[in-house]
Amino acid sequence: MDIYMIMTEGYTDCALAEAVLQKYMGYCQYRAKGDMPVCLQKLVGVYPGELGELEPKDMPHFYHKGESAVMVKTAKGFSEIAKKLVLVMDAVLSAGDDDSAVKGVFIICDADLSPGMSNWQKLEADLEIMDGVELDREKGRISYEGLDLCYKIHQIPQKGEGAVEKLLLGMLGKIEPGLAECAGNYRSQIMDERFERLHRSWAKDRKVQEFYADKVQLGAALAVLKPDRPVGYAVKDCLVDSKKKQELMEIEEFQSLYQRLNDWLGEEAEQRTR
Amino acid sequence: MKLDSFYVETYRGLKEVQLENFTDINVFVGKNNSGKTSLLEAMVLSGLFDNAQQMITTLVSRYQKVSIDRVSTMFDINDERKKIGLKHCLYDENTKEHVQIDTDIVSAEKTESTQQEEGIREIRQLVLRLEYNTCCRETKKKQKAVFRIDFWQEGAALTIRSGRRKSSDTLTRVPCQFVAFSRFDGTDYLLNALDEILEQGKRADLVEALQIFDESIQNFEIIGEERDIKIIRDGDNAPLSVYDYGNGMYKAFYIASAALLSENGILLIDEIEAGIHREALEKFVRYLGQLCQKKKIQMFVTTHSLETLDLLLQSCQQADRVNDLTVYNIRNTKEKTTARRYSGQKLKDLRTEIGLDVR
Repeated sequence: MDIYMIMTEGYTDCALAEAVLQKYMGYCQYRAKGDMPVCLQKLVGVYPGELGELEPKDMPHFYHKGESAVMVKTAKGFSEIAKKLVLVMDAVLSAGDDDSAVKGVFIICDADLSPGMSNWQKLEADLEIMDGVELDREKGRISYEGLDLCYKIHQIPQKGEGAVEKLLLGMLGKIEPGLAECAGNYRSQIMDERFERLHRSWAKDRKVQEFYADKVQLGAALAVLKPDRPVGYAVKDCLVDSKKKQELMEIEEFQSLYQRLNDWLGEEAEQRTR
Repeated sequence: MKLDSFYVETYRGLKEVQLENFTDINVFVGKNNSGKTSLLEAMVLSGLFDNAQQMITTLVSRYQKVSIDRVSTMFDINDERKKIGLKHCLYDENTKEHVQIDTDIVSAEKTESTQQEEGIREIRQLVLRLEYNTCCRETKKKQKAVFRIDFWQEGAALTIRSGRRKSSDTLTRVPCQFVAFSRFDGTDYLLNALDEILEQGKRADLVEALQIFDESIQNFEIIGEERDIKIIRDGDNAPLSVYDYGNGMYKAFYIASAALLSENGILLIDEIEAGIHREALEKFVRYLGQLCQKKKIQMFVTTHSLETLDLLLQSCQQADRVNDLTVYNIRNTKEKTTARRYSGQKLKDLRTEIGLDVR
């Protein structure tokens, strides 16, 4: 079985990647640990009771289709991606001979503001300084203590500045245009200068405040879509609608993400491995 | 003196495994039959012991019944292939010198005879000679020592005598204790350890350790011709024998005694958690960690328990000495033995960030 790993910056892009895998690419979620390949079983966390047991734990999710299996995990922050990736590779190595089935890692992160170095360049720099990691940027390969994988970094958006929320707002506009308009109006009200003190508590830079405003706008809409669940459920269950693929593919950023995932994990990839 | 590295070319099922960069607390984990206990035994055999009886006890401890045939099989004396090849490197923090010691079996001679006096008796003898070649990396000073062990069997009775080393070898004298409960009933071993504890004036230290398991313990004594170990507790009408307690107390005596006798040396413990309840284990692990730090003891333990591993990590973290802990995952296949090393910090990250079970 060929195994791939998807590492995302945050929870919302994690939910988005999972939804695309399930709804548009035909992957099914593993429900029983024993059904998974050994090296993926090693990634099901068994956390110590004494060290931080009250902190929330982000368990990866695992999917499979035919002879491919995928782990999707959030790093919980851009600055954590390199470290978490190395730890995951340690886990793969600890599985022993099974590590030969792991083919590569796909990293999804925000573009954010792009003065100077882009986020994907920063990420490559972070990876290169990790002990034991060697990066071949030309060939897109990462090796760590004998484990050799291909890696790909996908920034959202591909062009310009921003974060995954911009893409999700675009998707909202396609799926629930009325709600999107309401959320837009709500954003305008929240960004009024009478709330300047709150804006400054998010960030000092106005551009970064606008990123947070995207989160507020999106969060308001997702709360309407799924009032009683965390935002990831609204993304998976409502925004990535299996009946609205054509509409979503009209969004350039969504098409770009879907195409890259499909190239890597989809039908074409399956045919390449046969 | 601390163990810096250890190489097993061959010993029992272990093949060409290199263990490096030992720290103060070293933990071996791995599946059953991966060779964790064999590693501890190999450390003993490689010349850490200065006490021949302890070495022999360790070597034969995995068997319920020992005979010359058993020892012959253990060292495979009929096989021309090399049976034991061990190298360990000790580091002296005072002199900043590394001393490497290579261990080989020089010879294993087996003889059988029949004596007619006082009836026909079958007598069998096995003489095992182990050679230790030592070399100081910095001064290049070399020494050789040969250690002889005589196994003498009359009928079913086996006597083991240790010979003296042919040359004195001050470089490798390291206080060392090996503790493995699942293997043998070592009452004599425990009594000898207690005698030594009392001789060294460490009674109070041992009582302090036992109080982790039972706060009412006040003292202990060795009583009577049969040398029964009695525990004196607050509120009891009469002292209880250690055998009246569960396995955990018996084990506490063992480990605590061994630890106290390992000052400035090395303590090897097989399956540290077996027989100890989780609540006592937490306190005991903390106690051991503090004792090892205070008495400059380097510890090597094996465990199957993730909980024990986490407790060791927690204890080191609380003492601000996470990198004094190292874990080696031992994996053994037909072709080779491998040891994957995790530093304390790496272990902490793996356990807390992704919940990796490193066993």
